[in-house]
Amino acid sequence: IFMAEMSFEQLWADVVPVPQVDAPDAVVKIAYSKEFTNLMDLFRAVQKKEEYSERVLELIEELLELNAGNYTVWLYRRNCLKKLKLDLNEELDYLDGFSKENPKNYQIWHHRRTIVEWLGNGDRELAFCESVFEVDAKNYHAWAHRQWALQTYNLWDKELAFIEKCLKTDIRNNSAWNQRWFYVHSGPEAQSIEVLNREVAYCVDSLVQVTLNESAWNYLRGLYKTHHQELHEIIRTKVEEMVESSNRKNPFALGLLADICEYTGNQLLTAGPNEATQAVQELREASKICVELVSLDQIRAKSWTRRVRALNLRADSVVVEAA
Amino acid sequence: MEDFSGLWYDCESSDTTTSVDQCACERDCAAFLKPMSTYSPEALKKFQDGELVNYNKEIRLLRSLHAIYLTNGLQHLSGGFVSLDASRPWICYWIIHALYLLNREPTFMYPRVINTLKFMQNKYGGFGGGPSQITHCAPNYAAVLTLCTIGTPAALEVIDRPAMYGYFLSLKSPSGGFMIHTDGEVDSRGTYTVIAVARVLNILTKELTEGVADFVVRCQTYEGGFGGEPNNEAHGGYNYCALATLLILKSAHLCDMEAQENWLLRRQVKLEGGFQGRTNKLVDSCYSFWQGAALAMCEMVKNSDSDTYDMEQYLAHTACAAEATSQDAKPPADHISADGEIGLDLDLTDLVLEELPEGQRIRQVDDTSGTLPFNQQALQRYILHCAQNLEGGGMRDKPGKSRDFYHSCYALSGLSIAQSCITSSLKSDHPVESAAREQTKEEILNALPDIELDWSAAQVYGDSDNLLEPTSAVFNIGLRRLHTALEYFKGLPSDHETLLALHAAQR
Repeated sequence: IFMAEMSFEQLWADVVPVPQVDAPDAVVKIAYSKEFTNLMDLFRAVQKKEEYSERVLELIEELLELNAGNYTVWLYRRNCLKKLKLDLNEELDYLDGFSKENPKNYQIWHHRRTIVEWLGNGDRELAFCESVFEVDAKNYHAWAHRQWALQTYNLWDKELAFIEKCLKTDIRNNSAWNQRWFYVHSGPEAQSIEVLNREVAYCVDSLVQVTLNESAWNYLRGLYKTHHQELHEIIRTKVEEMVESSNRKNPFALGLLADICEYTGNQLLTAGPNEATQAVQELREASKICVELVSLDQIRAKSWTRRVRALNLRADSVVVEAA
Repeated sequence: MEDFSGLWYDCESSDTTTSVDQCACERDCAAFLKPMSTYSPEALKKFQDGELVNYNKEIRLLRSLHAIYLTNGLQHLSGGFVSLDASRPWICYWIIHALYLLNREPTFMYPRVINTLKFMQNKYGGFGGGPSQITHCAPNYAAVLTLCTIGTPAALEVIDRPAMYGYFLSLKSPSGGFMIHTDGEVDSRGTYTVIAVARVLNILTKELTEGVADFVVRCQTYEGGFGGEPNNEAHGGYNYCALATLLILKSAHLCDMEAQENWLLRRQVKLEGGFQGRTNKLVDSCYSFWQGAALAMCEMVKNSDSDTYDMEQYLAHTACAAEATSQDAKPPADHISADGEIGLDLDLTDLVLEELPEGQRIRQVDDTSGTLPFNQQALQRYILHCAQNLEGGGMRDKPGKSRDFYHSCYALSGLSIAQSCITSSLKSDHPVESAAREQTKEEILNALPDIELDWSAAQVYGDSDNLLEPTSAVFNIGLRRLHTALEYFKGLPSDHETLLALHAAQR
């Protein structure tokens, strides 16, 4: 209140501004507004004399309005907050407002993480991230922040429900699928066969409606590769079904089947000479599918062609060995 | 391809935000991707007058227009740029690297650039985003790369190596990664900016690299790409940083390279031809580089464990080609003396690809041409048709977005990569050493077909004048400038104790 009664100039009358020292005839010179120049000159003065005070906080707020990317100023703000021992929840209120206009600014997210760490509790963070997702369901910083808060403060309780809500809103939201993987593999559930089967079922179910959703296909592939032992048969069966039901036209289904055949073939190759014939069969099957994909998935024709040749070479070299 | 049939997104009667956005993007891009032959003669004439299209109806890179936009940016930036006031070295790098690619370097401004950056270097080590700003690894990376692009001793000697080394050490996190500034976040981006700079400056010590590869490997997701931190979604920018870091550390074999390459290949979008940053997101011209160069790195890894394989191939080949055709080749201009005598003291490392005879130099592309694993033609088509800003030059994310220096840099860098010819030799010539693997099993499992080696020719879509200078996949500076920088710093002291001692002595 005291400060509001003084004008800005009066408040800062005691401080000698420090101008920016650029190289003479510098390049990439920005035509700063007078306001910005004055504020930065004061900030540099404040830095020099190492002042940490309420007026500095207000100065910083003005500066961040004009350029939220100045990480030097953000660091100085943190030092102020520490020295003045201010209410960190009020700082979170301040940040809540800021993020609306600058949802992709690294400094704001990092600052928030630090404040939350100082507070020692992440109670507000899930709701905050959710508010950001309302505007942009795929905001990278927000998902990263959410993962950090979940793990650091053990807030897993309602996360699966939240993820399913996101996926219900947009089954193609890859960030939500990624979060699902994170929940299953880093969250409170053990990866029991029940959980894994549930994940396969969830994936396959979603693919009934939207057969060309790459997020779901990538998730299914991930399940196959990571939990090969437990899930090999069920996933292979489902993928073969989807290849058929799409009349061999779904490039994702075919691509995953090719991966499965190749993987199986490679496994069999390392198993021993008795499995050689079956191994070759799998590799040739994979190769056949890749041939189909050369025309079905034209943008990747070059790499499918290379893969055909590599698979054929590998299959050929096995036969040569056995003979 | 004229009606894009079979390429439009199929929302399967289940529209969501993702599909709605994708369909809108496709419509916008398709309008720009129509082959030149489908335009009316009047419209074509307009394009030709504006120099967008040549008289063979091939699209042109608006080299001069982009150069004007970029060079002006170096000299004046409007007040709106205040939001980049903590990223001025980045603005320098984006502009100067782009101009280098265009072969329009503003050499006359280099002394000013060097001086400008000098004022942004801190005594305790590293560059900040501007004078009086604390060191931050991102503008630090940009400043160092800018100085390397300039490449003169005057530029390279600005960099205070010992101080920077000490500062980098202070950023090392127990997780193995690096913070991006004191008290900052640890992610694959910060890690790359430290490792890449340390590599070029020859200060990459064991003390610095300890645990880094292990941290980066943990950032690979089930999708095969890398995110910013472990468990974060696979994302083109972070993926590039992670893969480049692994290459520099000769540790690519520690991750699942097959999954990485397959994730990358799936990032090329089928109608637009450009790259998206993440699954189910929109194409963006900057990913032309982040994803395209990552695919170039995948190719490099198959042939060598060197992070400068592209540079080595380029230098070796331009030297060979010059020798083979020295009777026909036009020598570099500055070897022609005042009275027209052609000097015989050819410095082969200066020979630019452009000075080779026409037939040997450039091949026109089709969908499967080029030695990189992705569709090089489609990427070039996206960049030239959709990413060029026709009013006043510069490059943009996609139609409907405004131009900026960042996209100008990375769209052009991606174009350069897509035109490139630098990778892939016959597999048998370059076995990749790896202690972790057994011979016989791997020989069978990894037998690759002979890939036709024809890296003497760049792959150019549109007008053959669209050819850009080649750029390093790992460092994104010109290959010859990378060579100069590496040679310059090679001879300087590079062990941990000496560097610390030198820094202490300076203070």
